[in-house]
Amino acid sequence: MDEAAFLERISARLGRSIPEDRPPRNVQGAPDFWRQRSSGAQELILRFQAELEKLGGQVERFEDRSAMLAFLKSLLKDLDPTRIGVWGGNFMDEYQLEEVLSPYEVVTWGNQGVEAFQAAEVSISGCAFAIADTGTMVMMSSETHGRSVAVLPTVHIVILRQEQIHGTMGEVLESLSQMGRSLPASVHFISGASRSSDIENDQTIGIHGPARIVAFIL
Amino acid sequence: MPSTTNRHTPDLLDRTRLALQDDFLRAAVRFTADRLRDKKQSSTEEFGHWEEWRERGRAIRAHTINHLDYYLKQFVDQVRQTGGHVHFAKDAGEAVTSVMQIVREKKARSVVKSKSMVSEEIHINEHLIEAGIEVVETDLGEYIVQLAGETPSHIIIPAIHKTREQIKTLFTNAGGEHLTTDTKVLAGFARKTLREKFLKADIGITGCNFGIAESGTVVLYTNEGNADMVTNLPKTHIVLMGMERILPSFADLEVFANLLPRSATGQKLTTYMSMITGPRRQGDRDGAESLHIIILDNGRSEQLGDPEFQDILHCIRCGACLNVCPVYRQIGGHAYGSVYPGPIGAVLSPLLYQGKQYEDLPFASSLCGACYEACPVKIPIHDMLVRLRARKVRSGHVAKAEQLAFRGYKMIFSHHRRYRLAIKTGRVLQETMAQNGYIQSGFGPLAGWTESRYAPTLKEEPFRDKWEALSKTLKTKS
Amino acid sequence: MKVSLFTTCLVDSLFPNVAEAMVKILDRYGVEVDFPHGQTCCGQPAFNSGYVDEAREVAKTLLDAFDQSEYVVAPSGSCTGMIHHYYADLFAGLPDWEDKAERLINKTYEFSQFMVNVLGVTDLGARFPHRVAYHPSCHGARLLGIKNEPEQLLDHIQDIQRVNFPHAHDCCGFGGTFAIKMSDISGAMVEEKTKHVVESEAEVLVSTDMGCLMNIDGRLRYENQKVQVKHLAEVLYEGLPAEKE
Ligand code: SF4
Repeated sequence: MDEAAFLERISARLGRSIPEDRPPRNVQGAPDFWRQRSSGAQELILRFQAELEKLGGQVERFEDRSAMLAFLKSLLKDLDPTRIGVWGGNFMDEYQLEEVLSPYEVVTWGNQGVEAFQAAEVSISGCAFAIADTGTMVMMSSETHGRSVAVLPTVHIVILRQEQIHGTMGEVLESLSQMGRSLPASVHFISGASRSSDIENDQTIGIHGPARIVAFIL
Repeated sequence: MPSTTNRHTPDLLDRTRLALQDDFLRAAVRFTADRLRDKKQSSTEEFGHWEEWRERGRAIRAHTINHLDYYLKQFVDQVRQTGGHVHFAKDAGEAVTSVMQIVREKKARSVVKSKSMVSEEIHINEHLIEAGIEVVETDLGEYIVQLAGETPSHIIIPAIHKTREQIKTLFTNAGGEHLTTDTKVLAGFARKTLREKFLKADIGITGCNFGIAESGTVVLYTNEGNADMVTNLPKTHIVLMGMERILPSFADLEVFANLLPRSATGQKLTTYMSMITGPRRQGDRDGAESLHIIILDNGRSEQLGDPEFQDILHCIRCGACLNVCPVYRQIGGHAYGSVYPGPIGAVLSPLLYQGKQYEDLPFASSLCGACYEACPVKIPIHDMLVRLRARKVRSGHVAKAEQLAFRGYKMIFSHHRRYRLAIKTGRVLQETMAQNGYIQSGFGPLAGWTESRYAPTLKEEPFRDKWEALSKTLKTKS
Repeated sequence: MKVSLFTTCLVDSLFPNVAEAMVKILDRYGVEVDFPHGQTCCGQPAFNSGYVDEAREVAKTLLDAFDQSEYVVAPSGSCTGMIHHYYADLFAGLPDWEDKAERLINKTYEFSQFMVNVLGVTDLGARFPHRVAYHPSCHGARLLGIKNEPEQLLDHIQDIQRVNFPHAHDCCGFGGTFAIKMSDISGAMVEEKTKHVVESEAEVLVSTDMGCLMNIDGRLRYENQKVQVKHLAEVLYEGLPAEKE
């Protein structure tokens, strides 16, 4: 069926022609009481941490980069991956990951793609936003920030800066709305590890995506 | 209709009888439904202001559906601007044609799917398989159901009716070696097998939970992450969406991101909320290269402008009405014989497919209203069930005996003298059946009732005959 | 204050004691009660089965019978719910009837709502030393919007022992003609309900609707269980101290 006929049918059923202007609305988005909630930065970090931990995620907070790198080093030693996938671009430099990652085979997104990341056990990325209410981290796709980085490996480590943590999803959605046409092809909200309860209601982790999520807050 | 066994048992009563004999099924459904509704209850209580959120949800859906032409057009324009393709399908046949055309153009051999009720509605799997295409469901529950050659029995938990033993057998037949009934082992098999399927698939098919008009974004909720694989790895992504799945803006999405997961599974948010806006951008190394959105009418537009049923298009397919439904609880999803089971199915099925096929479904309800109470967008399902019953009666597709019975009811009950006489006569007639004040085994319309319980008897004197004497004993007089 | 009794056809023909209990309680509170004989049934059996015209004709008996009444009180959340929830639509556009329907809607109360919200009574001074479980009727709670009025009345009864049971808010499977038409499903529902009630070790199951109680009682007797069923008005009335003349 062609578009015009399809839409005309809808208009006809609604008993008018298709409106040219945006229909006026008195109710849009979340209720006022919800939008007016505000919290301090510290509170947001704590809430984010608590929520993500409830979902089985691991949260580590660091005073500075060197503390984070030290922790990462020992974590990777534990995990003992052969291959690690990381965001491309200047991500490695930004956090000076080179040295810590040097014992491992490292693939970077952009230089490599799906095939290379498929065999990476661990991935390390940043995120665009985090949401305190739901323990969520938001990934946006780009040339150097492939979607696969967050979904293919078994362990996903996310480095985020505390100012990226917002209170509600609404704040993040507003930012997306303002991006207009520059919105990336994929915006991915991740809250905890991949899970399923489809086998007799018994929850199991890591069904398609990562089985372990670690958030580093700087 | 598809050739799966669970759809073909002809009549609703037969199907419910079969379901009622299946003790495992009933226990499993009860267990899962209880769990989901308890979780919903606690998560909405913790969230607070639930009624305010519900009303918000209702108002936004009502506004959107009232201006569906405007928002759908906006959505479509936005999708095109991001480089996506849009197809319109007036019915299941046209939707299938669109899909098959894309499949041919892309010379696709294999398709991976993430859970989509619309894909069930148009039975796309059968058509793909017929054309020699491999189709793999990737939601764990859907995968199980697919291997069993069945259809989902719950819109959120498709394999609610399967035991781990059965799942082990299904997975073993699908090539699993050394499997046990351990959840981890079974899930591990599925992860490995499905990962291979994702990587080699030519096309990914998903549904669409919400389409955001302002940006042309498709929003998907999953816990497993399969939708991300499906949208990410194959070169082509086909979205099958009901035309009513629209929300005007991102701001509105916040309301539904709060309502949908809580209502469906009692989660604050599903593990993954994925937003797809157009195909992969230049330079991107993953994500589908081409995005096709197929927008389906299939009986939906018929409800627009109908004051009795338009609100059914507000539904966000959360499944909360199933989890609280005392009928669904007893018979499970397959007994409904439709893609959409439970209270929502009992309304939606006869509305989308006019004709006799699903006309009986609205009668499979005690009209207790639990569905309405649970519904995050306040759809008066119980009222719609009554209206659909009336529609069936108006159409004349009812048994003569029933018509006569209600004509008789009207005749007798529309005047108190005839009504009193009927009680008196009934009292005499019941003599032969009554024992100790109960009818223990009745016949005619009472036969079904007394199969599982006794029926009461008419009392010697109805209240109306006692009134005169009683009124004389009262102290308050005018 | 004047109240017209809407007994409902079920109570009139099968459970006249319930109406009697209600009348006596209202009488104690100085309410003048009458019983307009023209009433029969609210029309719900036909309405819920899709026979709208038949339902309307029967419902008219109530509109006529109660047109002059000040208040109408019924021992049923379901029948009261039918009036409140559906009569406006049922009579929409019919001159005269439309107005009569609106008047009836505005003055009709379910018994416990009338006691608590109109008379302002929660403690009748009754005593009922038994273990009592309460089954909220679906139509009372969801169609009509009875909140905790029945429980307020129960909780003020002396020496009563309230017991809870799981899924109390689930339908018992009655649903009027549903129990006839879909008797298998309905039977499975009442079986589950009864199981919970019996497990609660209640001696008496109380509700505000005889439809539910008739259904549950039928199952209890079939299973030969000891639990008795009683309408809220019966429990209250039985528990009242004898009146000093
Ligand atoms: S009718 Fe309401 S409760 Fe049922 S699936 Fe739709 S939105 Fe959910």
